Amino acid sequence: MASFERASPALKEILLRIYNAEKPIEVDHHLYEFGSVEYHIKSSVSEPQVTYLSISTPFLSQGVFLSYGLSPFTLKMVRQISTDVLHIVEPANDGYQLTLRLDFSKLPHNKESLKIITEVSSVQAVILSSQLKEMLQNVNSWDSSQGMHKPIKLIYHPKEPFYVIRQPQKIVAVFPMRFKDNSDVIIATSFFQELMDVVSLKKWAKVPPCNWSPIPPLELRGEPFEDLSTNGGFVSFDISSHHVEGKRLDKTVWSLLNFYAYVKHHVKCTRGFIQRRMRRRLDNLVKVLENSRVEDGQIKKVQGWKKMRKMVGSKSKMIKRRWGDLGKKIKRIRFRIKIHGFARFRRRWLTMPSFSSSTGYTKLQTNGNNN
Amino acid sequence: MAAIAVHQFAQCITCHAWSPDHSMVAFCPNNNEVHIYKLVNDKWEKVHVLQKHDQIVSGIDWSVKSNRIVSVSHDRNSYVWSQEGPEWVPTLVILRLNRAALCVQWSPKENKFAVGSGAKTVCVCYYEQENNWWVSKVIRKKHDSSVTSVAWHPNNILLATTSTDGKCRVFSTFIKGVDTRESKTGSSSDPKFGEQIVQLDLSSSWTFGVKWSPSGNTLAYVGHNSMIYFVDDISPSPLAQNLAFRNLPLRDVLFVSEKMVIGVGFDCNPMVFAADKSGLWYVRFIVTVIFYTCFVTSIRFLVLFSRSFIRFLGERRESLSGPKSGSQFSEAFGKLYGQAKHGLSNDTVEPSKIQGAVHDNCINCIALLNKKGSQTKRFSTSGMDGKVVIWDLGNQQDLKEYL
Amino acid sequence: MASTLRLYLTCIRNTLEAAMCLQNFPCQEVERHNKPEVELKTSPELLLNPVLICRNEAEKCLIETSINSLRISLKVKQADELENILAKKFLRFLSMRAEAFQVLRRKPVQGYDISFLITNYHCEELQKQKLIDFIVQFMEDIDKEISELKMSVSTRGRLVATEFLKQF
Repeated sequence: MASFERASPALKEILLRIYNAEKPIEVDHHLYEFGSVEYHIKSSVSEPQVTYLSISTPFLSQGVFLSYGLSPFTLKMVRQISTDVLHIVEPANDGYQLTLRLDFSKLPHNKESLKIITEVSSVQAVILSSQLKEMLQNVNSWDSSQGMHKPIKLIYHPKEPFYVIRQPQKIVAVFPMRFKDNSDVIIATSFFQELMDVVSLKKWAKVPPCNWSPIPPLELRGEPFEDLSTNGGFVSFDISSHHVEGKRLDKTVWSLLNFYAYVKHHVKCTRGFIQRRMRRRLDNLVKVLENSRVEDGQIKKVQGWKKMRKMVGSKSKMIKRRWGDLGKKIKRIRFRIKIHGFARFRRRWLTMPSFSSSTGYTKLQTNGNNN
Repeated sequence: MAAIAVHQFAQCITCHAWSPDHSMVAFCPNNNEVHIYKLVNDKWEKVHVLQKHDQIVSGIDWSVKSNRIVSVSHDRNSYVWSQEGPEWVPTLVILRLNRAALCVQWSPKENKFAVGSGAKTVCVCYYEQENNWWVSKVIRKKHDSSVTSVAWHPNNILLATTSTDGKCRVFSTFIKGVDTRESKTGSSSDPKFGEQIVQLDLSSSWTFGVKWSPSGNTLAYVGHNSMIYFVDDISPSPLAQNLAFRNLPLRDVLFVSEKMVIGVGFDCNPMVFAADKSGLWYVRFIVTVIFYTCFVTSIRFLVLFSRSFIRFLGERRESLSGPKSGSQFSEAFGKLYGQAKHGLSNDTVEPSKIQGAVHDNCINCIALLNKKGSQTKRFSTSGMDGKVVIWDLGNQQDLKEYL
Repeated sequence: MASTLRLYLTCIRNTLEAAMCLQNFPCQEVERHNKPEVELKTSPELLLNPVLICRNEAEKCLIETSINSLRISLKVKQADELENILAKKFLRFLSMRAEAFQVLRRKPVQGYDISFLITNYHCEELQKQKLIDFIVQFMEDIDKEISELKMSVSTRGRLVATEFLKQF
């Protein structure tokens, strides 16, 4: 899903800085990201234009892949990012799954360079999605005689696994949904109902059929209990062969990997939306009450309330100013999806066409800060 | 319109009283001060501010003959102010109260005054010459709840009180050394101080605003259940008439003459009640006369004078649904006061709003503004909207026969 | 449905007209204090019978009066889970900002969703009719707001689901 950035912003920024530096600089930098991802970037003066990038990322699924390092399919996908610039160094550095040698001298001197560096920064996404792609690509190769298989547990977010189960002619992806807050559960549940409603429309015949149930589906029987205890129910998608053809594979894979994040983001935005509406309604009601005041005392009281609001307003401006300065530093440590999701997300929603609701639906904006 | 003058003095007025010549008015603007305004060249000017109390002043009375002001407050104190030169000088009153004082009135001879309090007692104060202060004798243990209003009988001995326990009581306040024995009056022995003459349990809700008629024959008081009670012949077997009306309750009453009573209250409009020998009287919009049987011992139920509600004094534009809305009020009242339930009416009509009334908020005090010897009857009202309004009944043709 | 709402609100309005006859009354229990008697309930003679107005099983309104104060407690309808949390969130939001409303009580009475406390001081400052209008409009607004919120949340969910499925 393009609304969640694949490129790691911190990594991209470092690589750009190295690329744009006038003279070669010494860099030996460790970068940690949410999801137990670790990068090691090394660039020395002796070898200008060359940077070594090592990545350590947990595997999507424990099992087959672990002992043998990254699969050849994955390595192939990585190479495909940019055959000129990128070389895989064998063996990888200690403690890392993959080491790449980036040759910046091979970068073209135009806007393409930015694009390539962005793609290089998204190497982690490539690794993970390639693992899932491999699994999904084989959907057609299973004969009906193979029957049911044990569900494979995939972990994209820590603590939020999802399951992929191979079945004849299709692969079922099941997401157990967990939420901390009861109201989150209810908002998400209503979202899932809407999801099911939309899928059942004829217009969306091409999408994988989606189903929500409060109890674990049959396929997951036999899994450990703690994975099956959820408060948000289970969402399952049936992926069939035409969803994994060609270019669609990439989109499908990315959507599945980020489904959780998507739902959580939606819940959070909905909460912000509710809060904004309540605040607006509060203002309207207070206005009615102040109209009923006897005129003498009116001026004093109204000013008092307005003063309070002014204070709150200026405080947020102060915070915004300060934040702008620290923003870059903070970005490095923050969860990648959170930051860049906003920019893309905003762009996406604002270009939404022709929706008009009789209930006065307001334009979607991102949450909280803009109050 | 019967209102001849409207003055806005403050945001809210608790109580007011007029000077003997009606040129000055003293009131409490909902704080701990007493303001005295004088009419100078058709404009009201603040001439004095009496500051001695700590909390809101709940009662003010200005004696006619001796030109003294008595004020009582929620801070349990009371002061008697006398004018010495340009200043008003307070004299301490030993009230011995441990709760707020709610109401006060000078006796007709102005040698005593009575204070009703939230301590469920009534203090009758008289002046002690030797110590130059006012001392009190307290009527204790006769009331079950706060005493909201006190009224003196013209004979200077009997005192009527109303309380939030719903009862109206009449006491004797004979004080040796202050009152002279009158062997003319009927009873064989003059009652002692604090002896209860009669207790009237006519109301199911709180009672306010008790007043005697000018001759002292009739007693009138109001209950919070939208009723007004008239009692004749105060004796162990009094005669009582209850009058219910379809409006918000009253707070205070005033006898303009022997046969006419003005009631003021939450309706922001004075109501006129008149006595008629010939029975029920239907005038204008609303007249309701309901007789209730009372289950208090020995209250006779003969009606000699039947009293009826005549009308409102201020103009009142009622919508067509007037009576219907009134019935909804009385249903609401019925539920609040535990009376028999009526069926819920299916009206979806908005009740009529009081428009054109002079006061905007509840009227809580009414005072007589009579000049001796003059024919016209005037009175003034003050309320929570901060206005003092002077009403004249002279040009009300239909009311002349009751004056 | 609309007709019962009108009836319900008219009934509440009439009861409030009768009940909002408040006067300044100092405390009988503690000297020099002035407390709302409906909250204290120490002197039963100063309280009037509470009136309960029910529109249906889910919606009701309790009006308790005393000599110097009046308490109105409302229970709003909550048809399903989503309305339930929306109503709870919204009413808690309003209650937390009670000082903006003056007549709102910070915590609702047990068994109800939101409560008002009106004292004689409010009647002195604010006009009685307008105060009653405010309360009736408040009740209408709450209902409207909750149903609007619910509809908005569902619509948002639908849009988001549509966007998600466009990926495939």
